[in-house]
Amino acid sequence: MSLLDIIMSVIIELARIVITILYFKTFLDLCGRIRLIWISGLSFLITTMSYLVFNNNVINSLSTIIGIFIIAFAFQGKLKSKVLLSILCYSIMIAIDFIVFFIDIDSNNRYEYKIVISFLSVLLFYAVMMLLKLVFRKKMKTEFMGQWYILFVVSIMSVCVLFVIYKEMTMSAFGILFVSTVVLVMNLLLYVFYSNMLDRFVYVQENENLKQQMNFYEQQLKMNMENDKKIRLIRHDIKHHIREINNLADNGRLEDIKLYTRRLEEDIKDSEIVYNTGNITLDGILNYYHSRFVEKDIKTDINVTVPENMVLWAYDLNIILGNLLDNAFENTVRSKEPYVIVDVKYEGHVLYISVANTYDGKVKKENEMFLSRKGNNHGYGLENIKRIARKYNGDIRIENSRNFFIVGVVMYLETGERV
Amino acid sequence: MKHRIGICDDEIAICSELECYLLDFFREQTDDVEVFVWNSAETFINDVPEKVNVDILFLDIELPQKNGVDVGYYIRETIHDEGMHIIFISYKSSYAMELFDLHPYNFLIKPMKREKVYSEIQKLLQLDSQDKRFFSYSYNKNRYKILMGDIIYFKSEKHHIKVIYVDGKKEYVGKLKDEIKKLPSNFAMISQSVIVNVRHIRECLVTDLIMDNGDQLSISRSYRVTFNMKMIENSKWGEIKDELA
Repeated sequence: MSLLDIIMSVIIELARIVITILYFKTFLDLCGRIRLIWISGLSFLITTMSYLVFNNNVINSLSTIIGIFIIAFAFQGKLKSKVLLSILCYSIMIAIDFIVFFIDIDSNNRYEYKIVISFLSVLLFYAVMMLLKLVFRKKMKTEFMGQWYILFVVSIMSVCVLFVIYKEMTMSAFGILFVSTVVLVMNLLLYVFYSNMLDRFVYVQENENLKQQMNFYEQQLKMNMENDKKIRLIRHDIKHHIREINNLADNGRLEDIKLYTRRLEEDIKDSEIVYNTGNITLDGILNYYHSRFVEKDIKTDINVTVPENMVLWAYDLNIILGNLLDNAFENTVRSKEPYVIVDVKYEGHVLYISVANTYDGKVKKENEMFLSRKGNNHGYGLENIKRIARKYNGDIRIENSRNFFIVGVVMYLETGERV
Repeated sequence: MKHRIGICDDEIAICSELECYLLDFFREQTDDVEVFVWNSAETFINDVPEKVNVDILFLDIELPQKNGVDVGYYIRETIHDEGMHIIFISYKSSYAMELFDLHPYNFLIKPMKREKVYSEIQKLLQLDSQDKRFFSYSYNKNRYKILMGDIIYFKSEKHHIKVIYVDGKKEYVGKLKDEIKKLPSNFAMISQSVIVNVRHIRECLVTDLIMDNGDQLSISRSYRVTFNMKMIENSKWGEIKDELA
């Protein structure tokens, strides 16, 4: 066995393992990075060693199966699905080897051809993996599913390049090994680059949401402080108020007392925070939008009946209600009669959220999602709401009449155990 | 038809104001009303259900001694009255979780506005009139009928349909797929063999429903989306939609 042979099989096995990991990642969740590293190292050792030491067809295929199956254990999930996925993975490899075998059938078993063929099969495996990703991308958690087909096209193009090299054999074995490796590595690097970019995009989105949440909390804090100040003022003046009421009482001016206390009552009411349900996030969002609605003279009808300390992650509530109210605000503010109706109700472990708003009648309906003139953002927000609602087994329903837009959300908050 | 409405609040002023609203409201209705007022939980428990019974109860949460929650538990668990519509009234807008376990119809914040009370009663009367319609079916060439509001759920077994209602069970021959078309929108199919009356759902668990009679029914995965749409339709969303249409 030559040095070239060893280098080639090491590169090929490494690539195979990386692609197998990507393959499993499409379907299952990772257990942990460190576990992945030592498991893939083990798998690499077994497959490469058996190839280099025995170089026997039966042992090679056996070690490939074992290698795939070992990698499956770096992922979460039931044993059944791991076995099934491993079998599927192996059958893909076999199918590819079969195709490659037919391509190779008329070659004269030259060493150069063997190198191209090996790389070709790995690249084809990568292309199939991209195809799987394209088909199953709906399962992916990120809302931005990405343009994976670009990677697929690149992988197919790379396969073509190798095919051309095969057909027009003009290079030395070393040259072929070098070019093939570069093509393969470029594909994998592109993949890493692209998925990192996607992660970054999701991260930025999440950051944006958190920033919004901070805004709500800040607003709530400000309101609390102002409220506190007002209450302190009233308490400070209470002596004067009592004296005044006493005065009026001494003179028997009953009507004036009534008037006076009513005014006092209004003063106190003024100082109350508008929404106080005992759910910090909910109150924060409602009070924040309440002040925005008041600022723009938008008529509102807001009803909230929920228990204190609902079992709902602040982040989720923030996305749902924040997006709904933001959309309502953006749309109603441009309509002739700005009007927003909000109803949040908890009943039998179910949370219902309904938001209706007037709009100027310009709505594009695309792919069952409503897009506002703001562009993709609106539909994106609704898509986000749907994703969160589905997490709680719920859903979203949207309807629009001539000048009203109504969104309803249902979520099931019973987690099985009482909190 | 005569409606019996109760008010249980220790604040006399609130009681008389509310009573006034209710009497005013029914003055313009064809239906009659009888309003009962209690100023403490103890007097309410003493009178209900032996002496009088009410369909709708405005219940103060912060009563002295025994409070609104105790009265709620008395209604739901001691005398097992699932049908009474409880409307909690309070100065506060934050509510403890246990209040929701009593499945109240709604909450109102004191002091109550006339329009708010009117719209609550209006909605309740509307629900009531919907529930007072009859569902009819035939069995052995005889026609039978059950009040829509009494039906908890339908269950099909082979060619038979079982109707589980408040006071028992009935059985007849038919297909659920045909029945759902005849039923109003508050009935939802949750699996191939079960149609539930959404108004008789006591609790929604992740995959199961607990009905007012305690029966547990599971929602099949393929019916989840339709069921969720029905749930939204039967919430305030549907009301707003009808109002704006």
